[in-house]
Amino acid sequence: MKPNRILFACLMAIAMAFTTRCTDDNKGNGEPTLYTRLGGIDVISKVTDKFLTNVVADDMINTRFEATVGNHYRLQVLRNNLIDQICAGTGGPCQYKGQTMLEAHTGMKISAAEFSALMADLAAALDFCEVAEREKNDLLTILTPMESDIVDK
Amino acid sequence: MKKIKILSLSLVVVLAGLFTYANLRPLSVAEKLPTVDLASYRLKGPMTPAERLALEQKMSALPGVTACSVNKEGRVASVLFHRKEIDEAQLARQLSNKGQWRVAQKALQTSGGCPMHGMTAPFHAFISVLDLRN
Repeated sequence: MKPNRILFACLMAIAMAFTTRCTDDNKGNGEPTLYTRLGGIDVISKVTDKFLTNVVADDMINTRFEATVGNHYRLQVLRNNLIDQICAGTGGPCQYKGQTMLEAHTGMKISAAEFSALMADLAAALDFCEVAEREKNDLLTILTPMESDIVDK
Repeated sequence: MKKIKILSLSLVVVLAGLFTYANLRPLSVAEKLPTVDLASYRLKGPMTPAERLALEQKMSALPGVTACSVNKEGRVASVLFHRKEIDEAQLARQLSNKGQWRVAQKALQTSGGCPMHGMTAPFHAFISVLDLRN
């Protein structure tokens, strides 16, 4: 009888492990994460690249970024941080390793108008990459609260 | 003489440690993506909104280009690209659209920008050079 119980316990543990793996990518209510709904890392990297070129072409804010994107290594750090941040923030399998938004922007004196221009560039990138309206709004809702850590610091 | 030997040995150990770190550190999902470069250009000549969108789409579809944006005024274009597949001169030729617009590469600022990235950039650059996976 005892070996049967042990076998049953092992089978249950294996079943639970599989169930956990299968539900890794949802919020627990069966709905996929925003990361999955966006299209995963491929779409996030496309949106990030389009966002970066939008920003560099945007005369209102491009001077804030030129020195960073003009340097090969600094560009990779910025791009990787943006991708990891969006990926992690939407429930994807990434870990953001960069500074907090407050630490990264303190002393830069970024205005509310500059932040709005940045968000408009991101929204334009999402539109260009044909991200659905619901996913676009969900992502912007996650990112917009960062304004308090970025503006006028 | 003994001091030079100790110093040399220490340097070798430090370099070996950095080399090991560079090649064994876990890469994030983003770090596993191929690296990109960015070029910015000034455009001259009239451009309608439809032409601007068509130019962005044409450029974005080129092999080696990951993204291209032209500003609303049609005066500045920026392109992210893989240097192994396409270079700045080829991008400028494509942007000119067979001479429809005059194109000149824009020199980007070399100082300023995001201060945090500036401080960590030299270390990141050195580690990237040592990383044979790149």
